[in-house]
Amino acid sequence: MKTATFFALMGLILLSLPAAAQQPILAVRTNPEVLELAPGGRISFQIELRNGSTYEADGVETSFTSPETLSVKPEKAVRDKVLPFATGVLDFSLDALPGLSPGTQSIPFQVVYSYCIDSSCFQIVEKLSLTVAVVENLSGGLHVHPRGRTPWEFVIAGLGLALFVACLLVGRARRLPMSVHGILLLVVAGALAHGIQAGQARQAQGIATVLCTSCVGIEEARHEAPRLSATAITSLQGLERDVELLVFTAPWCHSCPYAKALVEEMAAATDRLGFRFVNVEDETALARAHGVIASGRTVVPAVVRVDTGEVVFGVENLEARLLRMLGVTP
Amino acid sequence: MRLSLVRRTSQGAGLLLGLFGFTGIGMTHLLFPGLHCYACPLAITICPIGLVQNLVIFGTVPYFWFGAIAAYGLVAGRAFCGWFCPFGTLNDLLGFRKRRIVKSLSYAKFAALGLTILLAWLFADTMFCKVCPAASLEASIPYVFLGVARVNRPFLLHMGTLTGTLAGMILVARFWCRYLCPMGALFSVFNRVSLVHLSLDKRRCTRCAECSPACPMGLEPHADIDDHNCIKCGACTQACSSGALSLRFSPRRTP
Repeated sequence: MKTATFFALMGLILLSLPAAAQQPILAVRTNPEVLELAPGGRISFQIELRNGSTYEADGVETSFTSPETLSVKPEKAVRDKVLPFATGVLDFSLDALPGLSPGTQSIPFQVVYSYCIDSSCFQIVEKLSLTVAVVENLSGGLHVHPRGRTPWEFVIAGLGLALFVACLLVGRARRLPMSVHGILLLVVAGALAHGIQAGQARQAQGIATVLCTSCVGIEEARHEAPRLSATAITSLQGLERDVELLVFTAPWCHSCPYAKALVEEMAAATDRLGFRFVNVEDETALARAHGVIASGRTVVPAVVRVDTGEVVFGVENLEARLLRMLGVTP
Repeated sequence: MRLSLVRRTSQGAGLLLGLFGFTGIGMTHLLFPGLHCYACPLAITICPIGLVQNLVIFGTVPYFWFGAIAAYGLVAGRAFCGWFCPFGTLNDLLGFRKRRIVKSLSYAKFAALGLTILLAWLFADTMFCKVCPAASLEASIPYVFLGVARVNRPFLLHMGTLTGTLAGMILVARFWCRYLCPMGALFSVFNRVSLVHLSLDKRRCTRCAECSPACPMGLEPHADIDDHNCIKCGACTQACSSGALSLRFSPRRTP
Protein backbone atom coordinates (compact mmCIF):
# COMPACT_ATOMS: atom_id res chain seq x y z
CA MET A 1 0.00 0.00 0.00
CA LYS A 2 2.83 2.33 0.98
CA THR A 3 4.68 1.47 -2.23
CA ALA A 4 1.51 2.00 -4.25
CA THR A 5 0.99 5.39 -2.55
CA PHE A 6 4.56 6.36 -3.31
CA PHE A 7 4.35 5.42 -6.98
CA ALA A 8 0.90 6.98 -7.33
CA LEU A 9 2.30 10.22 -5.89
CA MET A 10 5.27 10.06 -8.21
CA GLY A 11 3.04 9.32 -11.22
CA LEU A 12 0.80 12.27 -10.34
CA ILE A 13 3.78 14.58 -10.07
CA LEU A 14 5.02 13.44 -13.47
CA LEU A 15 1.64 13.63 -15.14
CA SER A 16 0.82 17.04 -13.74
CA LEU A 17 3.81 18.60 -15.43
CA PRO A 18 3.72 17.26 -18.98
CA ALA A 19 4.49 20.59 -20.59
CA ALA A 20 7.39 21.54 -18.39
CA ALA A 21 10.78 21.22 -19.95
CA GLN A 22 12.40 20.08 -16.73
CA GLN A 23 10.91 17.27 -14.73
CA PRO A 24 11.20 16.84 -10.98
CA ILE A 25 13.44 13.96 -10.03
CA LEU A 26 12.54 13.81 -6.34
CA ALA A 27 9.33 12.27 -5.05
CA VAL A 28 8.48 14.23 -1.92
CA ARG A 29 6.23 13.02 0.86
CA THR A 30 5.71 13.72 4.52
CA ASN A 31 5.77 11.05 7.15
CA PRO A 32 3.24 10.78 8.69
CA GLU A 33 0.97 12.16 6.02
CA VAL A 34 -1.31 13.83 8.59
CA LEU A 35 0.18 15.20 11.79
CA GLU A 36 -1.99 14.97 14.88
CA LEU A 37 -1.15 17.62 17.44
CA ALA A 38 -2.65 18.70 20.75
CA PRO A 39 -2.71 22.39 21.76
CA GLY A 40 0.59 23.14 23.52
CA GLY A 41 2.09 19.88 22.19
CA ARG A 42 5.01 18.97 19.97
CA ILE A 43 5.46 16.31 17.27
CA SER A 44 8.35 15.12 15.13
CA PHE A 45 7.89 14.38 11.46
CA GLN A 46 9.96 13.64 8.39
CA ILE A 47 10.06 14.73 4.80
CA GLU A 48 11.22 11.93 2.54
CA LEU A 49 12.86 12.77 -0.75
CA ARG A 50 13.16 9.76 -3.04
CA ASN A 51 15.37 10.19 -6.05
CA GLY A 52 14.18 7.86 -8.79
CA SER A 53 16.60 9.14 -11.40
CA THR A 54 20.22 8.71 -12.34
CA TYR A 55 20.98 12.36 -11.55
CA GLU A 56 22.08 13.87 -8.27
CA ALA A 57 19.71 16.37 -6.67
CA ASP A 58 21.84 19.19 -5.33
CA GLY A 59 21.25 22.23 -3.15
CA VAL A 60 18.12 20.79 -1.54
CA GLU A 61 16.35 23.41 0.58
CA THR A 62 13.05 23.22 2.39
CA SER A 63 11.08 26.21 3.61
CA PHE A 64 7.75 26.40 5.44
CA THR A 65 5.18 29.17 5.56
CA SER A 66 3.93 28.54 9.08
CA PRO A 67 0.86 30.24 10.55
CA GLU A 68 1.36 32.24 13.76
CA THR A 69 0.16 29.40 15.97
CA LEU A 70 2.51 26.72 14.62
CA SER A 71 6.28 26.58 14.44
CA VAL A 72 8.34 24.20 12.30
CA LYS A 73 12.03 23.70 13.10
CA PRO A 74 14.64 21.36 11.61
CA GLU A 75 15.81 18.73 14.11
CA LYS A 76 19.06 17.78 12.42
CA ALA A 77 21.46 19.39 10.04
CA VAL A 78 19.75 19.65 6.67
CA ARG A 79 21.15 17.37 3.98
CA ASP A 80 21.58 19.22 0.72
CA LYS A 81 22.16 16.32 -1.68
CA VAL A 82 20.19 13.26 -2.67
CA LEU A 83 22.21 10.78 -4.67
CA PRO A 84 20.74 8.81 -7.62
CA PHE A 85 18.28 6.13 -6.49
CA ALA A 86 18.70 7.18 -2.86
CA THR A 87 16.21 8.46 -0.35
CA GLY A 88 16.97 11.52 1.73
CA VAL A 89 15.13 12.02 4.99
CA LEU A 90 14.79 15.43 6.63
CA ASP A 91 13.72 15.57 10.30
CA PHE A 92 11.58 18.38 11.65
CA SER A 93 9.63 19.18 14.76
CA LEU A 94 6.30 20.97 14.90
CA ASP A 95 5.36 23.01 17.98
CA ALA A 96 1.89 24.21 18.85
CA LEU A 97 2.10 27.86 19.94
CA PRO A 98 -0.40 29.66 22.23
CA GLY A 99 -3.68 30.45 20.55
CA LEU A 100 -3.90 27.23 18.53
CA SER A 101 -7.47 26.03 18.28
CA PRO A 102 -8.75 22.53 17.31
CA GLY A 103 -9.37 21.83 13.62
CA THR A 104 -7.39 21.01 10.50
CA GLN A 105 -4.68 23.33 9.32
CA SER A 106 -2.48 23.33 6.29
CA ILE A 107 1.14 24.47 6.29
CA PRO A 108 2.44 25.26 2.78
CA PHE A 109 6.03 24.34 2.15
CA GLN A 110 8.36 24.13 -0.79
CA VAL A 111 11.33 21.97 -1.69
CA VAL A 112 13.88 23.60 -3.97
CA TYR A 113 16.71 21.68 -5.58
CA SER A 114 18.64 21.49 -8.81
CA TYR A 115 20.06 18.78 -11.00
CA CYS A 116 22.27 18.73 -14.06
CA ILE A 117 22.30 16.64 -17.22
CA ASP A 118 25.75 17.22 -18.61
CA SER A 119 26.08 21.01 -18.89
CA SER A 120 22.31 21.68 -18.70
CA CYS A 121 21.14 22.38 -15.15
CA PHE A 122 17.55 22.71 -13.97
CA GLN A 123 16.13 24.15 -10.79
CA ILE A 124 12.98 22.52 -9.49
CA VAL A 125 10.56 24.10 -7.06
CA GLU A 126 8.08 21.66 -5.55
CA LYS A 127 5.19 23.30 -3.70
CA LEU A 128 3.34 21.09 -1.26
CA SER A 129 1.48 21.36 1.99
CA LEU A 130 1.55 19.68 5.36
CA THR A 131 -1.78 18.74 6.94
CA VAL A 132 -2.03 19.21 10.69
CA ALA A 133 -5.02 17.92 12.65
CA VAL A 134 -5.27 19.77 15.95
CA VAL A 135 -7.22 17.70 18.48
CA GLU A 136 -7.95 18.29 22.17
CA ASN A 137 -7.18 14.75 23.36
CA LEU A 138 -4.88 12.42 21.54
CA SER A 139 -6.00 8.82 22.09
CA GLY A 140 -3.13 6.36 22.33
CA GLY A 141 -0.45 9.01 22.07
CA LEU A 142 0.97 10.61 18.98
CA HIS A 143 0.39 8.69 15.80
CA VAL A 144 3.81 8.79 14.33
CA HIS A 145 4.73 5.81 12.17
CA PRO A 146 8.14 6.36 10.66
CA ARG A 147 8.33 4.61 7.32
CA GLY A 148 11.95 5.21 6.52
CA ARG A 149 14.88 3.22 7.73
CA THR A 150 15.66 3.93 11.35
CA PRO A 151 18.79 3.17 13.38
CA TRP A 152 16.97 0.64 15.58
CA GLU A 153 16.03 -1.32 12.47
CA PHE A 154 19.70 -1.65 11.55
CA VAL A 155 20.59 -2.57 15.16
CA ILE A 156 17.95 -5.31 15.33
CA ALA A 157 18.82 -6.61 11.87
CA GLY A 158 22.52 -6.61 12.79
CA LEU A 159 21.88 -8.43 16.06
CA GLY A 160 19.71 -10.99 14.30
CA LEU A 161 22.39 -11.57 11.69
CA ALA A 162 25.10 -11.85 14.37
CA LEU A 163 22.99 -14.42 16.23
CA PHE A 164 22.45 -16.30 13.02
CA VAL A 165 26.15 -16.40 12.16
CA ALA A 166 26.95 -17.49 15.74
CA CYS A 167 24.50 -20.37 15.37
CA LEU A 168 26.07 -21.35 12.06
CA LEU A 169 29.51 -21.34 13.66
CA VAL A 170 28.25 -23.58 16.46
CA GLY A 171 26.81 -25.81 13.77
CA ARG A 172 30.23 -26.18 12.22
CA ALA A 173 31.14 -28.36 15.16
CA ARG A 174 28.74 -30.91 13.58
CA ARG A 175 26.97 -31.67 16.82
CA LEU A 176 24.17 -29.22 16.28
CA PRO A 177 21.89 -29.08 19.33
CA MET A 178 18.19 -28.96 18.58
CA SER A 179 17.97 -25.67 20.48
CA VAL A 180 20.34 -24.08 17.96
CA HIS A 181 18.14 -25.37 15.14
CA GLY A 182 15.20 -23.78 16.92
CA ILE A 183 16.93 -20.39 17.18
CA LEU A 184 17.95 -20.52 13.52
CA LEU A 185 14.41 -21.32 12.45
CA LEU A 186 13.02 -18.53 14.64
CA VAL A 187 15.38 -15.94 13.12
CA VAL A 188 14.54 -17.12 9.60
CA ALA A 189 10.79 -17.16 10.24
CA GLY A 190 10.99 -13.72 11.89
CA ALA A 191 12.92 -12.24 8.97
CA LEU A 192 10.50 -13.72 6.43
CA ALA A 193 7.43 -12.58 8.34
CA HIS A 194 8.76 -9.06 8.86
CA GLY A 195 9.87 -8.83 5.21
CA ILE A 196 6.47 -9.91 3.92
CA GLN A 197 4.68 -7.59 6.35
CA ALA A 198 6.86 -4.70 5.19
CA GLY A 199 5.87 -5.37 1.58
CA GLN A 200 9.27 -6.67 0.51
CA ALA A 201 7.79 -9.69 -1.26
CA ARG A 202 5.72 -7.37 -3.44
CA GLN A 203 8.75 -5.13 -3.93
CA ALA A 204 10.78 -8.16 -5.08
CA GLN A 205 8.05 -9.20 -7.49
CA GLY A 206 7.88 -5.65 -8.87
CA ILE A 207 11.63 -5.56 -9.45
CA ALA A 208 11.59 -8.90 -11.25
CA THR A 209 8.54 -8.06 -13.35
CA VAL A 210 10.03 -4.97 -14.98
CA LEU A 211 12.98 -5.48 -17.28
CA CYS A 212 15.11 -2.38 -17.59
CA THR A 213 17.13 -2.84 -20.77
CA SER A 214 20.36 -1.47 -19.34
CA CYS A 215 20.10 -3.35 -16.03
CA VAL A 216 20.82 -6.84 -17.37
CA GLY A 217 23.20 -5.61 -20.04
CA ILE A 218 20.86 -5.73 -23.04
CA GLU A 219 22.17 -2.29 -23.94
CA GLU A 220 24.28 0.44 -22.38
CA ALA A 221 22.62 2.96 -20.10
CA ARG A 222 22.62 6.52 -21.46
CA HIS A 223 23.00 9.33 -18.98
CA GLU A 224 23.76 12.25 -21.25
CA ALA A 225 21.26 14.93 -22.26
CA PRO A 226 19.86 14.18 -25.72
CA ARG A 227 20.55 16.73 -28.43
CA LEU A 228 18.49 16.58 -31.58
CA SER A 229 20.37 17.12 -34.81
CA ALA A 230 19.30 19.92 -37.16
CA THR A 231 18.24 17.30 -39.72
CA ALA A 232 16.06 15.57 -37.14
CA ILE A 233 14.38 18.86 -36.22
CA THR A 234 13.70 19.60 -39.90
CA SER A 235 12.30 16.09 -40.38
CA LEU A 236 10.04 16.43 -37.36
CA GLN A 237 8.69 19.72 -38.64
CA GLY A 238 7.60 17.80 -41.72
CA LEU A 239 5.29 15.59 -39.64
CA GLU A 240 1.97 15.73 -41.51
CA ARG A 241 -0.51 14.56 -38.89
CA ASP A 242 -0.93 14.64 -35.12
CA VAL A 243 0.80 11.74 -33.38
CA GLU A 244 0.56 10.75 -29.74
CA LEU A 245 3.39 8.85 -28.05
CA LEU A 246 3.31 6.98 -24.76
CA VAL A 247 6.65 6.73 -23.00
CA PHE A 248 6.68 3.78 -20.59
CA THR A 249 9.23 4.07 -17.81
CA ALA A 250 10.02 2.83 -14.29
CA PRO A 251 11.31 5.15 -11.55
CA TRP A 252 14.51 3.17 -11.03
CA CYS A 253 15.31 2.49 -14.70
CA HIS A 254 18.70 3.96 -15.63
CA SER A 255 17.97 4.76 -19.28
CA CYS A 256 14.42 6.04 -18.81
CA PRO A 257 15.38 9.70 -18.10
CA TYR A 258 17.20 9.78 -21.45
CA ALA A 259 14.19 8.36 -23.33
CA LYS A 260 11.88 10.87 -21.63
CA ALA A 261 14.18 13.81 -22.34
CA LEU A 262 14.55 12.80 -26.01
CA VAL A 263 10.80 12.57 -26.54
CA GLU A 264 10.41 15.98 -24.88
CA GLU A 265 13.04 17.41 -27.23
CA MET A 266 11.23 15.95 -30.23
CA ALA A 267 7.87 17.26 -29.06
CA ALA A 268 9.41 20.71 -28.62
CA ALA A 269 10.42 20.66 -32.29
CA THR A 270 6.87 20.20 -33.63
CA ASP A 271 3.33 20.99 -32.52
CA ARG A 272 2.05 17.78 -34.06
CA LEU A 273 3.75 15.49 -31.56
CA GLY A 274 2.10 14.85 -28.20
CA PHE A 275 3.34 12.54 -25.49
CA ARG A 276 2.58 11.18 -22.06
CA PHE A 277 4.89 9.53 -19.56
CA VAL A 278 3.59 6.32 -18.05
CA ASN A 279 4.99 4.71 -14.94
CA VAL A 280 4.59 0.99 -15.65
CA GLU A 281 4.40 0.20 -11.97
CA ASP A 282 1.25 2.33 -11.72
CA GLU A 283 -0.36 1.55 -15.06
CA THR A 284 0.31 -2.11 -15.68
CA ALA A 285 -2.94 -2.60 -17.62
CA LEU A 286 -2.05 0.20 -20.05
CA ALA A 287 1.39 -1.30 -20.56
CA ARG A 288 -0.15 -4.71 -21.26
CA ALA A 289 -2.67 -3.19 -23.67
CA HIS A 290 0.12 -1.59 -25.70
CA GLY A 291 2.32 -4.70 -25.87
CA VAL A 292 4.96 -3.36 -23.52
CA ILE A 293 4.51 -6.53 -21.49
CA ALA A 294 5.58 -9.79 -23.07
CA SER A 295 5.59 -13.16 -21.24
CA GLY A 296 4.81 -11.39 -17.99
CA ARG A 297 7.85 -9.11 -18.36
CA THR A 298 7.49 -5.36 -18.77
CA VAL A 299 10.33 -3.89 -20.81
CA VAL A 300 11.36 -0.28 -20.16
CA PRO A 301 12.02 2.23 -21.53
CA ALA A 302 9.47 1.70 -24.30
CA VAL A 303 7.92 4.27 -26.61
CA VAL A 304 4.56 3.43 -28.18
CA ARG A 305 2.96 5.23 -31.11
CA VAL A 306 -0.70 5.18 -30.11
CA ASP A 307 -2.37 5.24 -33.55
CA THR A 308 -0.32 2.41 -35.09
CA GLY A 309 0.59 0.48 -31.94
CA GLU A 310 4.26 0.35 -32.90
CA VAL A 311 6.66 -0.13 -29.99
CA VAL A 312 10.31 0.85 -29.69
CA PHE A 313 12.25 -0.64 -26.78
CA GLY A 314 15.45 0.66 -25.18
CA VAL A 315 17.54 3.73 -25.94
CA GLU A 316 20.14 2.48 -28.37
CA ASN A 317 20.01 4.60 -31.51
CA LEU A 318 16.65 5.83 -30.20
CA GLU A 319 16.48 9.08 -32.15
CA ALA A 320 16.75 7.32 -35.52
CA ARG A 321 14.32 4.59 -34.50
CA LEU A 322 11.75 7.12 -33.29
CA LEU A 323 12.04 9.16 -36.48
CA ARG A 324 11.53 5.95 -38.45
CA MET A 325 8.51 5.10 -36.31
CA LEU A 326 7.08 8.57 -36.98
CA GLY A 327 7.67 8.10 -40.69
CA VAL A 328 9.90 11.16 -41.01
CA THR A 329 13.28 9.53 -41.58
CA PRO A 330 15.68 12.18 -42.93
CA MET B 1 21.75 -45.80 -10.72
CA ARG B 2 18.47 -45.08 -9.01
CA LEU B 3 19.81 -42.01 -7.18
CA SER B 4 21.19 -40.49 -10.36
CA LEU B 5 17.83 -41.00 -12.06
CA VAL B 6 16.07 -39.22 -9.18
CA ARG B 7 18.61 -36.41 -9.40
CA ARG B 8 18.15 -35.99 -13.16
CA THR B 9 14.39 -35.84 -12.60
CA SER B 10 14.88 -33.19 -9.91
CA GLN B 11 17.16 -31.22 -12.22
CA GLY B 12 14.48 -31.47 -14.90
CA ALA B 13 11.96 -30.08 -12.40
CA GLY B 14 14.34 -27.17 -11.70
CA LEU B 15 14.56 -26.46 -15.41
CA LEU B 16 10.78 -26.69 -15.74
CA LEU B 17 10.25 -24.22 -12.89
CA GLY B 18 12.79 -21.92 -14.52
CA LEU B 19 10.84 -21.94 -17.79
CA PHE B 20 7.31 -22.20 -16.40
CA GLY B 21 6.40 -18.83 -17.88
CA PHE B 22 5.36 -20.65 -21.07
CA THR B 23 2.07 -21.38 -19.28
CA GLY B 24 1.33 -17.65 -19.14
CA ILE B 25 1.89 -17.35 -15.40
CA GLY B 26 3.49 -14.02 -14.62
CA MET B 27 6.23 -13.28 -12.13
CA THR B 28 5.59 -14.67 -8.65
CA HIS B 29 6.97 -13.64 -5.24
CA LEU B 30 9.20 -16.74 -5.08
CA LEU B 31 12.97 -16.56 -4.96
CA PHE B 32 14.59 -19.18 -7.17
CA PRO B 33 16.95 -21.45 -5.21
CA GLY B 34 19.69 -21.22 -7.80
CA LEU B 35 21.16 -18.99 -10.48
CA HIS B 36 18.34 -18.24 -12.90
CA CYS B 37 17.89 -14.83 -14.51
CA TYR B 38 14.54 -13.19 -13.75
CA ALA B 39 14.85 -11.27 -17.00
CA CYS B 40 14.41 -14.57 -18.87
CA PRO B 41 11.16 -14.20 -20.85
CA LEU B 42 9.90 -17.47 -19.36
CA ALA B 43 10.98 -16.91 -15.74
CA ILE B 44 8.33 -16.87 -13.03
CA THR B 45 10.72 -16.68 -10.09
CA ILE B 46 13.16 -14.06 -8.81
CA CYS B 47 16.95 -14.35 -9.07
CA PRO B 48 18.30 -13.83 -5.52
CA ILE B 49 21.51 -12.23 -6.79
CA GLY B 50 19.69 -9.79 -9.06
CA LEU B 51 17.28 -8.94 -6.26
CA VAL B 52 19.91 -8.34 -3.58
CA GLN B 53 21.73 -5.92 -5.87
CA ASN B 54 18.53 -3.93 -6.34
CA LEU B 55 17.86 -3.95 -2.61
CA VAL B 56 21.38 -2.63 -1.98
CA ILE B 57 20.72 0.14 -4.51
CA PHE B 58 17.39 1.00 -2.86
CA GLY B 59 18.96 0.86 0.63
CA THR B 60 16.43 -1.72 1.83
CA VAL B 61 17.31 -3.98 4.77
CA PRO B 62 16.63 -7.29 2.96
CA TYR B 63 14.55 -9.23 5.51
CA PHE B 64 12.49 -11.13 2.96
CA TRP B 65 15.53 -11.99 0.85
CA PHE B 66 17.55 -13.13 3.85
CA GLY B 67 14.66 -15.20 5.26
CA ALA B 68 14.08 -16.97 1.95
CA ILE B 69 17.78 -17.69 1.32
CA ALA B 70 18.33 -18.90 4.90
CA ALA B 71 15.23 -21.11 4.73
CA TYR B 72 16.49 -22.71 1.52
CA GLY B 73 20.00 -23.00 2.97
CA LEU B 74 18.92 -24.59 6.23
CA VAL B 75 16.90 -27.21 4.41
CA ALA B 76 19.36 -28.24 1.75
CA GLY B 77 22.48 -26.05 1.64
CA ARG B 78 24.25 -26.52 -1.65
CA ALA B 79 22.08 -29.52 -2.55
CA PHE B 80 20.14 -27.00 -4.66
CA CYS B 81 23.28 -26.61 -6.81
CA GLY B 82 23.48 -30.35 -7.39
CA TRP B 83 19.81 -31.16 -7.65
CA PHE B 84 17.90 -28.13 -8.88
CA CYS B 85 19.83 -25.19 -10.36
CA PRO B 86 19.49 -25.13 -14.20
CA PHE B 87 22.89 -23.51 -14.56
CA GLY B 88 24.33 -26.27 -12.36
CA THR B 89 22.66 -28.79 -14.67
CA LEU B 90 24.40 -27.17 -17.62
CA ASN B 91 27.68 -27.49 -15.70
CA ASP B 92 26.90 -31.20 -15.25
CA LEU B 93 26.14 -31.72 -18.91
CA LEU B 94 29.41 -30.15 -20.02
CA GLY B 95 31.69 -31.31 -17.21
CA PHE B 96 33.77 -34.37 -17.86
CA ARG B 97 37.08 -33.61 -16.17
CA LYS B 98 36.49 -33.99 -12.47
CA ARG B 99 39.97 -33.25 -11.28
CA ARG B 100 40.73 -30.72 -8.61
CA ILE B 101 42.65 -27.62 -9.70
CA VAL B 102 43.42 -25.47 -6.68
CA LYS B 103 41.06 -25.73 -3.74
CA SER B 104 41.86 -22.29 -2.42
CA LEU B 105 40.47 -20.86 -5.67
CA SER B 106 37.04 -22.04 -4.54
CA TYR B 107 37.00 -19.12 -2.10
CA ALA B 108 36.89 -16.81 -5.13
CA LYS B 109 33.11 -17.25 -5.19
CA PHE B 110 32.89 -15.46 -1.84
CA ALA B 111 34.90 -12.62 -3.37
CA ALA B 112 32.48 -12.67 -6.34
CA LEU B 113 29.54 -12.37 -3.95
CA GLY B 114 31.19 -9.55 -1.99
CA LEU B 115 32.17 -7.74 -5.17
CA THR B 116 28.66 -8.09 -6.57
CA ILE B 117 27.19 -6.31 -3.54
CA LEU B 118 29.99 -3.75 -3.30
CA LEU B 119 29.72 -2.75 -6.97
CA ALA B 120 25.93 -2.47 -6.73
CA TRP B 121 26.37 -0.09 -3.81
CA LEU B 122 29.18 1.91 -5.43
CA PHE B 123 27.61 2.36 -8.87
CA ALA B 124 23.91 2.10 -7.94
CA ASP B 125 23.62 -0.43 -10.74
CA THR B 126 23.27 -4.19 -11.15
CA MET B 127 26.85 -4.67 -12.35
CA PHE B 128 26.96 -8.45 -11.88
CA CYS B 129 23.93 -8.94 -14.15
CA LYS B 130 25.84 -7.31 -16.99
CA VAL B 131 28.39 -10.16 -16.98
CA CYS B 132 26.34 -13.00 -15.49
CA PRO B 133 26.56 -16.02 -17.81
CA ALA B 134 23.06 -17.13 -16.77
CA ALA B 135 21.73 -13.74 -17.94
CA SER B 136 23.70 -14.15 -21.18
CA LEU B 137 22.01 -17.46 -21.86
CA GLU B 138 18.54 -16.75 -20.54
CA ALA B 139 18.04 -13.03 -21.31
CA SER B 140 20.62 -11.63 -23.71
CA ILE B 141 20.24 -14.26 -26.43
CA PRO B 142 16.43 -14.66 -26.20
CA TYR B 143 15.85 -10.89 -26.33
CA VAL B 144 17.92 -10.58 -29.49
CA PHE B 145 15.65 -13.18 -31.09
CA LEU B 146 12.56 -11.42 -29.70
CA GLY B 147 13.68 -8.17 -31.31
CA VAL B 148 13.96 -6.30 -28.01
CA ALA B 149 17.77 -6.32 -27.97
CA ARG B 150 20.38 -5.88 -30.65
CA VAL B 151 23.88 -7.19 -31.14
CA ASN B 152 25.84 -4.46 -29.40
CA ARG B 153 28.70 -4.01 -26.93
CA PRO B 154 26.85 -5.26 -23.83
CA PHE B 155 25.65 -8.27 -25.83
CA LEU B 156 29.21 -9.05 -26.93
CA LEU B 157 30.39 -8.70 -23.33
CA HIS B 158 27.72 -11.21 -22.33
CA MET B 159 28.81 -13.57 -25.08
CA GLY B 160 32.42 -13.20 -23.93
CA THR B 161 31.67 -14.16 -20.34
CA LEU B 162 29.36 -16.96 -21.50
CA THR B 163 32.01 -18.39 -23.81
CA GLY B 164 34.64 -18.18 -21.07
CA THR B 165 32.34 -19.88 -18.58
CA LEU B 166 31.36 -22.63 -21.02
CA ALA B 167 35.03 -23.25 -21.82
CA GLY B 168 35.74 -23.41 -18.09
CA MET B 169 32.91 -25.91 -17.63
CA ILE B 170 34.33 -28.16 -20.34
CA LEU B 171 37.86 -28.01 -18.92
CA VAL B 172 36.90 -28.37 -15.25
CA ALA B 173 33.70 -30.05 -14.09
CA ARG B 174 31.36 -27.64 -12.30
CA PHE B 175 33.82 -24.82 -13.00
CA TRP B 176 31.26 -22.08 -12.38
CA CYS B 177 29.83 -23.75 -9.25
CA ARG B 178 33.30 -24.37 -7.79
CA TYR B 179 34.93 -21.02 -8.29
CA LEU B 180 32.63 -18.19 -9.25
CA CYS B 181 28.96 -18.69 -8.44
CA PRO B 182 27.74 -16.12 -5.87
CA MET B 183 24.61 -18.22 -5.28
CA GLY B 184 26.86 -21.17 -4.45
CA ALA B 185 28.73 -18.95 -2.01
CA LEU B 186 25.47 -18.07 -0.26
CA PHE B 187 24.30 -21.67 0.05
CA SER B 188 27.73 -22.99 1.03
CA VAL B 189 27.52 -21.01 4.29
CA PHE B 190 24.68 -23.35 5.31
CA ASN B 191 26.31 -26.57 4.11
CA ARG B 192 27.42 -27.76 7.55
CA VAL B 193 24.05 -27.26 9.22
CA SER B 194 21.56 -28.10 6.49
CA LEU B 195 19.06 -30.91 6.95
CA VAL B 196 20.17 -32.58 3.73
CA HIS B 197 23.72 -33.78 4.32
CA LEU B 198 26.27 -36.39 3.43
CA SER B 199 26.96 -38.98 6.11
CA LEU B 200 30.10 -41.11 6.53
CA ASP B 201 30.14 -44.33 8.54
CA LYS B 202 33.74 -44.37 9.71
CA ARG B 203 33.56 -48.04 10.76
CA ARG B 204 32.81 -49.07 7.20
CA CYS B 205 35.10 -46.59 5.44
CA THR B 206 38.26 -48.28 4.17
CA ARG B 207 39.78 -44.93 3.06
CA CYS B 208 40.22 -46.39 -0.41
CA ALA B 209 39.39 -42.92 -1.86
CA GLU B 210 37.15 -44.39 -4.57
CA CYS B 211 34.78 -41.53 -3.84
CA SER B 212 37.24 -38.77 -4.80
CA PRO B 213 37.40 -39.32 -8.57
CA ALA B 214 33.60 -39.53 -8.69
CA CYS B 215 33.10 -36.11 -7.09
CA PRO B 216 32.25 -33.46 -9.72
CA MET B 217 33.47 -30.77 -7.34
CA GLY B 218 36.90 -32.37 -7.01
CA LEU B 219 36.46 -33.06 -3.28
CA GLU B 220 37.59 -35.91 -1.04
CA PRO B 221 34.37 -36.89 0.74
CA HIS B 222 36.06 -39.53 2.93
CA ALA B 223 38.35 -36.81 4.35
CA ASP B 224 35.75 -34.05 4.83
CA ILE B 225 32.12 -34.91 4.31
CA ASP B 226 30.95 -31.39 5.16
CA ASP B 227 33.10 -29.39 2.78
CA HIS B 228 31.47 -26.04 1.91
CA ASN B 229 31.82 -26.94 -1.77
CA CYS B 230 29.87 -30.20 -1.53
CA ILE B 231 26.76 -30.02 -3.74
CA LYS B 232 25.35 -33.24 -2.22
CA CYS B 233 24.82 -34.78 -5.63
CA GLY B 234 25.41 -38.26 -4.20
CA ALA B 235 27.91 -39.34 -6.87
CA CYS B 236 30.32 -40.41 -4.12
CA THR B 237 27.69 -42.57 -2.40
CA GLN B 238 27.29 -44.53 -5.60
CA ALA B 239 31.03 -44.87 -6.09
CA CYS B 240 31.64 -46.10 -2.52
CA SER B 241 31.82 -49.90 -2.69
CA SER B 242 31.81 -50.32 1.10
CA GLY B 243 28.57 -48.35 1.50
CA ALA B 244 30.13 -45.98 4.06
CA LEU B 245 28.74 -42.84 2.41
CA SER B 246 25.07 -41.95 2.27
CA LEU B 247 22.81 -38.96 1.77
CA ARG B 248 20.59 -38.16 4.76
CA PHE B 249 17.77 -35.79 5.62
CA SER B 250 17.98 -35.16 9.35
CA PRO B 251 18.95 -32.42 11.82
CA ARG B 252 21.33 -34.84 13.59
CA ARG B 253 24.73 -35.53 12.12
CA THR B 254 27.21 -38.27 12.81
CA PRO B 255 30.26 -36.92 14.67
